[in-house]
Amino acid sequence: MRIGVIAFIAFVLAAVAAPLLTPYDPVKLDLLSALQPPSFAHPFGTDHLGRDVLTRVIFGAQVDLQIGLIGVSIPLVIGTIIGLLAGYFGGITDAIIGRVIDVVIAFPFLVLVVAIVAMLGPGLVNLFIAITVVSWVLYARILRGETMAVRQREYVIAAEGLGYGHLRVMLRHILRNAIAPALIFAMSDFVLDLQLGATLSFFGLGVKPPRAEWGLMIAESRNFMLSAPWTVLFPGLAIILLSFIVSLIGEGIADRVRGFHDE
Amino acid sequence: MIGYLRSRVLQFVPVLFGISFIVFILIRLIPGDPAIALLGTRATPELIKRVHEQLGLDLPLWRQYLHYLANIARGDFGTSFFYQTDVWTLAFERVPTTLALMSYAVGLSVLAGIPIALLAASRRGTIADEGIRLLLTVALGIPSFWLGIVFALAFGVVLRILPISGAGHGGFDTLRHLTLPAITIACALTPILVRTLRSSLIEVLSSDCVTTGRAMGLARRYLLTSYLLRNSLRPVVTVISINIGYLIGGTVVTEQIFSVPGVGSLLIGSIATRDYGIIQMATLLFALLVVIVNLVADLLYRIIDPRVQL
Amino acid sequence: MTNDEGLVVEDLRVSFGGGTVPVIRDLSLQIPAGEALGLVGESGSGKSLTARAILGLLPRGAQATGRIVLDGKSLLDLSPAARDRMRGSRIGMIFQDPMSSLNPVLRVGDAIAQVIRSHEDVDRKTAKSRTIELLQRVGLNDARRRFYAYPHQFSGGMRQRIMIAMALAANPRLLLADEPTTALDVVVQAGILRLIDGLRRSRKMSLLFVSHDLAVVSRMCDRIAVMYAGSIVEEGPTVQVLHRPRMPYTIGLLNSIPGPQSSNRLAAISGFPPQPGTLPRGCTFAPRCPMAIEACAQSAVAMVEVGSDHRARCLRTADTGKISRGETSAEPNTSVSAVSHA
Repeated sequence: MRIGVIAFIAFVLAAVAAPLLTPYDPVKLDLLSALQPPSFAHPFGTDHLGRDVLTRVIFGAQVDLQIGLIGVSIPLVIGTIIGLLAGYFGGITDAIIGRVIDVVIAFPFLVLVVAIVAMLGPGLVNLFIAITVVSWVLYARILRGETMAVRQREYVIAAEGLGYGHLRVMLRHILRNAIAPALIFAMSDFVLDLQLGATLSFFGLGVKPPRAEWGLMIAESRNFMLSAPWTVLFPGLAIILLSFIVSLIGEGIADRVRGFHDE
Repeated sequence: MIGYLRSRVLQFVPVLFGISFIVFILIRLIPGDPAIALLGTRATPELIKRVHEQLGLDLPLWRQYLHYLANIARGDFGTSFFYQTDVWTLAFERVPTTLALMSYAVGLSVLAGIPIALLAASRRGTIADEGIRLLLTVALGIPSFWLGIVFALAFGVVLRILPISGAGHGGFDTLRHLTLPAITIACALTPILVRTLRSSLIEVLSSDCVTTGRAMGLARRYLLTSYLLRNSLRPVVTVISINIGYLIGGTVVTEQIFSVPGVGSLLIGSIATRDYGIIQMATLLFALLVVIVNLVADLLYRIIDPRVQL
Repeated sequence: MTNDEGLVVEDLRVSFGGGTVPVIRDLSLQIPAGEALGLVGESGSGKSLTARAILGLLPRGAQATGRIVLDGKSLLDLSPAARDRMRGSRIGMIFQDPMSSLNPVLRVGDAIAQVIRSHEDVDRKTAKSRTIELLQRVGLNDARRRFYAYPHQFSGGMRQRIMIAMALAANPRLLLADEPTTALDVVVQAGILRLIDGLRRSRKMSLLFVSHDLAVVSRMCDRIAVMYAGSIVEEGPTVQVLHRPRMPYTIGLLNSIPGPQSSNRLAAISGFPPQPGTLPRGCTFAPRCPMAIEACAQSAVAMVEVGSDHRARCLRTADTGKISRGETSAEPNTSVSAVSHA
């Protein structure tokens, strides 16, 4: 399923190169061209403010990719460190961290993020903060479990030969084996965060207009769904497509890992 | 059984404390003075001072928390400034609607999911199976809010066969009103369910006991119900209880889109009006729901599998 | 139209991978009604697969060709649906591990009643009373109460009895037993074997008893067929095969059983059986056979009559006959090693 990786890279490149790819301005109004169906000049049509939908979709990719990437990478790092420490040292550290994980996990993901964003105020940065604060536990939980499992195996060997001073070396050893499930989960987490970001923006809690973001685009064009379905269709398809691509990557990693997990 | 329940509930006590703490902390996240935020446009220096006292905002944090807990023990979750009634009543009366919607969605998911998973498992490796798996991956990427508005448009406005807002007047009418929202939520839950169910069905299909059943010449209907289905109940319970958070998320979104008067739409609606008391309450309720569902799942395991000790 | 002929298998061939990997070749056997045939061999010889092929429950990817006739009816010609109907009603099978074979979420009585109602149009009450009778017949005390129990509440021996009850619920004409006592301890074994034997006689069923345990088979069966690498290499009345084996593999097998009269060293057959896809051209046992000659490896060996209704698939039966009668000892190049034959 490594086609997914190629497609993903294509996505990222398109997003980064957005200004170069698109002749139109994503935010400038052009009311004269409002609500035009897809055509040669506007392959995805225009929205109610006359903006080219294709352009906005590509620019929107910038935001949504950010949401996915940042929403995954920071919690991944934080969660991995904390989970590793908890699983490795055990004892009180593990007891405390374990409890914290249990409590945060008891909250439904969307609800807690929404609550935090509601308190902090809408905006992309607050969204990142909220996602990070809630997501790290998911990674910590995985790492904790994996570390404890691997620790049983490597521990004996390590304890024999290497000796106490090589704690760091052991950390690296354990990490190599324990990180795989976390990476696989990271892919589905990406999709989760992407969906969450779009959903929150749809409800006005994320990105603010006139920025282009897929969820926001759908919200803005909601009233014109019947007369101009392309305004709602294409941003939706973009979300579906990106999610699909990342899911494929996740499945690809899972298939590879299945072969040599017990190493 | 009672003893077991008791011990399980006790296990959850620290978690419950943790949940209440986090909900308590939420309010402190608001940049600036929470009292001003709570009062909104009605803020006068005098009222601000009163809210400070009421919430104990000038006390050290831990004392504030105790104060908060004491309030909860008395059943006082604060007042909604927008609705002018206490938060608890407001939220609680919406709980049945949300539960009804969630149950409806789960029911649809299970009804649709089991046959699909069975099909994929029995034709493992064929085009049908691969096709289903592909569809599942795509389906997981479809945002609920988008699907919701598309459904609302297609079935509610264009085809006019199902209502798209409200919850009806009880009984069959409510069922009609909740159908589109339930289908929307089910579309998000079913892929996850089918994935896991398919795996476990593949295992069951090649298991010794099914082989024995076939060797004895058991009729199809018995194999299907007593052997395949009975043994897949467990994974269904597992999937739903693990993904309850995801299910709740979908429900909240869908309630808002279809204007279903449940706790979810209350939550989203309160954001615009800055009704922080309600936001806290709704969050607390949902967290409680997760804990309860996990407990119920545990109980169900004991009922489903006679081998598990009570 | 059926008669009382029992089971006749001719030239059965089972292969995987669309016919390319043969696992069972030229297998023929006969079990008249009411008689018992023991099918012995080491793991991987194909004996379990033979039973499965007769039952019609081969694993995915396996195909069977040849003739399998039960009471005059040709089984391989039947449609899948008709084959399904045969299972349980004409052919019953009991398996090795009763714990994993019984459905853990079903009450034992319900499981058996379901089998009855799958084959006959009876109401629940009748099915229940017949089930209770069956449970009593297989030796379960307090059958009326035990009807409502779950598999995990029984011991291994009892579970096996329940499985036997289940297999016999629809009164099959042929019973296939695949290592039914291997997972049980010796004391319990005896009871189960007595039960199966008694049932076979009273119902006049044909019995195919698959096992790697020669001692068990000798007690239960009138005739024995020895399997090696997918074919039967010797077949005949139990007493004859065990006391006057004519195929070197059988001789080796019997020699490797430790007994009170054997010497200190364990005699074993050196080497390993061939992998399914790599069967040698001639006799499959030739590479390991201490009596092999050039002709053995040339082409497939046919069965040779060596006594009354006693056959061996070997070119050197004249000499093996002498060994059996104790006139000569085994050839000097019989190697002794510690390799177990299981």
